[in-house]
Amino acid sequence: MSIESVAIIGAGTMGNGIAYAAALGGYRVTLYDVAPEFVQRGIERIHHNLAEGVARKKLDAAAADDAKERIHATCELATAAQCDLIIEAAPEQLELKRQLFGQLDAHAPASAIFASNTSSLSIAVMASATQRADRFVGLHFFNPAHLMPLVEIVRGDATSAETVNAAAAFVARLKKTAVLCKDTPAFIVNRVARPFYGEALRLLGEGAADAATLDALMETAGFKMGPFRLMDLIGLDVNFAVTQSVYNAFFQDPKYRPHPIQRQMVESGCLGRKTGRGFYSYE
Amino acid sequence: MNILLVGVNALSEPLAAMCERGGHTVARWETEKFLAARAISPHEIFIEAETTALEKKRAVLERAAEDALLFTCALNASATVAASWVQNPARVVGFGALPPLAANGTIELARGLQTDEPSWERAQNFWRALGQNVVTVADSAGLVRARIVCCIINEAFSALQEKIASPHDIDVALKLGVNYPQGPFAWGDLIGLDTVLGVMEGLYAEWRDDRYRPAPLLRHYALARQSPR
Repeated sequence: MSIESVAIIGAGTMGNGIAYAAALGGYRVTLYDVAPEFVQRGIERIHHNLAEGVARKKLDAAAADDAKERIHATCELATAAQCDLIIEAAPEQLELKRQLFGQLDAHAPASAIFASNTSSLSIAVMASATQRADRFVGLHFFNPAHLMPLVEIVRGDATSAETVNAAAAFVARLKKTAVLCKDTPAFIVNRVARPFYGEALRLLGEGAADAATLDALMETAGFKMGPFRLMDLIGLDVNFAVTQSVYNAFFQDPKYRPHPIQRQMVESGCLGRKTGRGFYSYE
Repeated sequence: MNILLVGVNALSEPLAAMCERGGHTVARWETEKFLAARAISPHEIFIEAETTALEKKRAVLERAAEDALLFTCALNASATVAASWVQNPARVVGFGALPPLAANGTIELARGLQTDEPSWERAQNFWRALGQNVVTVADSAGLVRARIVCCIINEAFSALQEKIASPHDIDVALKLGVNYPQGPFAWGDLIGLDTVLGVMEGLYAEWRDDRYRPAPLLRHYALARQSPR
């Protein structure tokens, strides 16, 4: 099936970033959230990012204007449901997502494809809240979604090849790169990247070297940013939440075990750049 | 000086070349031939770069000249453990690096519990004289870079073993999703899967923590001398 219209459920950081990409990709975009101020904020962020793109000469002004025209706001789920592709980017809570999908399922045309931007929940489990498991897929974008080139397409057990192909075509039109992953905890990136943080935290805890030395060493190995600078940038709370999520999803497999240092820092409000202090000080 | 370097892998030739550029004479040895050799040439510096089986590492270290400054590649065993295998352990210093080695790159150095001050000084001066930046790290298998990178590669093999995605997609994902300099499988090929396996087995032996268990698929590819790519 050909996708021409896309709904994004949730106008937060990921949602508005995906909407930006979809609008520039030529799709008619419906951006939904529970209250008008959330959608408005999301649209303002999109406009800001478009303006920045033009200023940096990454986009031409006409393309940016066209993109703006393609985005429509709604607080009616039934309205959002009238699209070919519906991408859910709501808070990372299973019950909330299942409820949303159940409601969308009742209103959306039979041919509509449902996608979730979840980073940690099972596609099959969410799909079971609908009658369209074959047209249910994961589309996991990376922050910031308007810029990061990668999308993980996650196929559930029941996801049809046709749905996967439609998802791939969508990602290609966004000029992003798709990788295909089975419906497993943390998919590819969040799983395989865990030791970058986990072993670094262990080394710090063992007193192998201080954070700055460990970061400098990893930068000599070719990483743009060492693990501690990166955790400070992402936010220690965000990183700790992902680590715990993966650890629990694999039933406490020791490979993914979080570290007391990160819990201690998060619990004492040392979250990184956003609080002025993390592994480094930004004051 | 006369340097004897034992071990053939992605590290050994660049190390040998670096030493030669620094004006030293390097006798290169493949591990099995070294162990079987009747006589070995005199040397002031011994570099053990055996990154696979610990028994081979031990056998190699035991043949080093007793008064030579002895660098043990601490990727698969700590300097302290390696030093405990030899006569005169005070002259043993652990070193670590990850291929590709740069002319003005960084060498990690680890001091074993037994390492004496003169050996430690000589060790740092040796690498600095070769143009390397020397960073001191705690003595532990894998040191810093190899430990972190090999655990990432091991996890990629674990994911591949479960067939969650293709090797190509896993490499692309880590490069584009989190800006890794190369994908884990490409990196594994650069380092050598036998070395990656050696690091994981070294970590596992050191910590006895299941966290470090090598992925069976990593072992299979290393033994088969193949790559998933």
